[in-house]
Amino acid sequence: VSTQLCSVEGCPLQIGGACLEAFDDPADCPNTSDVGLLSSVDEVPAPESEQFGWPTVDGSQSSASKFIAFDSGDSLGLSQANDLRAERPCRFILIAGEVRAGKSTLLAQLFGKFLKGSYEGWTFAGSKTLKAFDIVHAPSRASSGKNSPDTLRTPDEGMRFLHLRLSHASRVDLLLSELSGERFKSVINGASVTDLAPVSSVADRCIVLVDGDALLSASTRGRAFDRARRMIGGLTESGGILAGTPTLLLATKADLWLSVAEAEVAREMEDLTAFSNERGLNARSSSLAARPVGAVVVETGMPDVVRWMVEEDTTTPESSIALPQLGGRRFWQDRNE
Amino acid sequence: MNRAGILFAGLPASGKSTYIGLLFMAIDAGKGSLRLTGFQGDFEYVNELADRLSKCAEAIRTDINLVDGFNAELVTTNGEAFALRLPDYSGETWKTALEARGWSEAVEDEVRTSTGVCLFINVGAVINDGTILEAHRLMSSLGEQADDFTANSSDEEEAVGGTPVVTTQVALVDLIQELTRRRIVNYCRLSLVLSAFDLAGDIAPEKWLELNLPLLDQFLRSNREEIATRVFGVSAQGGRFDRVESKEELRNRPTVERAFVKDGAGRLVAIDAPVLWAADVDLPDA
Repeated sequence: VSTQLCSVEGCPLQIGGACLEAFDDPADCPNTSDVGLLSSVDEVPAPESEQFGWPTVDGSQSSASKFIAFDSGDSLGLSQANDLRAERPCRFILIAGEVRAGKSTLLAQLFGKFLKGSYEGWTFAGSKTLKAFDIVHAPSRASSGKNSPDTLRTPDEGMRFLHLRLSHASRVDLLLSELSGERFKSVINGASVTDLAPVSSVADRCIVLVDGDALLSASTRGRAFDRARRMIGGLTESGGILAGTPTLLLATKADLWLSVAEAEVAREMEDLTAFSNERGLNARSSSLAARPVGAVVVETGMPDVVRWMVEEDTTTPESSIALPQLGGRRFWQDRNE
Repeated sequence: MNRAGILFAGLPASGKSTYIGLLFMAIDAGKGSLRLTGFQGDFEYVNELADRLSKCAEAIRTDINLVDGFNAELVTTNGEAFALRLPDYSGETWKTALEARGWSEAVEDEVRTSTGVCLFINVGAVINDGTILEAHRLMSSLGEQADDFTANSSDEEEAVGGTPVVTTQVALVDLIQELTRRRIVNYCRLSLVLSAFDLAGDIAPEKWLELNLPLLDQFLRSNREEIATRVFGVSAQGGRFDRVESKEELRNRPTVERAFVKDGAGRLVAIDAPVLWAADVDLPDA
């Protein structure tokens, strides 16, 4: 038997599994060396470091050395977000918008700012979802091999959250929702917010995105604002966003419409803000060009968004006054849990 | 006798082994603040590291079998005796841990109980990944078409969740978060060792960090109460071994004379300064 010995600690090949580098023939892997002809696998010398407890097929651990798992770095599910919120105060920001409205782009560009240095006086202080942020940001990077930046479409994996800890004079932990646009489309079409976005009622703040793609022409602009109005209406129904919740209405992709429809969009945004406030929200509006197309267009709006996210609470959602204090309580309960 | 355990961490080829060779050469030559009074471990391996350094040869890759590391009994110049434990994990150990999202129980034990960490970064091997828009702007400033940016690029492919290039700063923040979060005490001393610092030119290590790894720089500045960090620039080799003319010049100078260590502000300090900071050894001149 010709036996390959792998030098990479943790490679499943060491315990008879597949090559970590995915070589069909482990002999082709640069990390392996042929230890010669052996009469049985038992004769393969087993250095200490190979005693790595990878989960076996049935999920159990080998007894040689326990594998200690740490956080995946992926986006957080409900229970993980609950745990984090119980551990430290977190500001939960619901980011609402239809498919391709710019939710993921907003998250990617937010992270991207801190990859380059401190931003608006705030510095990056950590993240429980570093890997998830990096993956969201990756299609904007040169290594993606693309000619223009792109954004991964958010798959509908239920309630998911990204965590970002920022520091200035104090620290603020942001929990940012990463919900599929399909969910908000359903809310627009009349589905209950408690079914589609049950976390809405515990949002400390809310960002509603209006897709800038539709704002360029008059024919699509009116309909885009109608849909935004219906989304806000649905989100503020019973079980949804609480009255008094600070809300930022963002007309996205401003680089596409700013030069040709600025006045029209501003007027519509004003009406949408008034409507939101009638629905009990504490709303204001802004525009955003988080990832402008072209070489010379200046990014706009991100400083305003970041300042709004981190600024001190000036209002308290009315119905949250009676909520119990943080510390061990459940953040929210998914009805499916 | 005080006991200190220092974890040497870093991605592959980050300069850990080279520094270990230099450290023991400096101790042997009486340079710095430490005197060796006892040693337990593979001294042959340490000698091999030192030999290669003195011959201007590239350091040997840390054998992953050397996880037992070294135990050294040391005395400082002001008479304080302490025992230093240096588990020497390979760079692959840390890289694999980030990929597999976990490590062995043995690593976990060292992480939980270590006094401090020396985290190594090779300044010549930093992976930074600029954005597509930055590349476009750069090309525009050069008068080139953005469409020429990538010969093999495509916008027709749907964006899918592949495996992105993980930049050095993201990987290191990830690693430090795990190293510090799992500790028994909520406080850690960290020496951030920028190796091959002769490649950085005339810049202070702290400034280099701010300019080249801004996310890591922010993270460390934001968490200084929990992670007491000092930045060092180390050139264990004193220059480039891969250049013939440089190599010959280096060969003619004693290793511990040609090597240098700079503190964050760029002042020359003793070769053992990163270890002393991580070990929390109180020296009047440290």
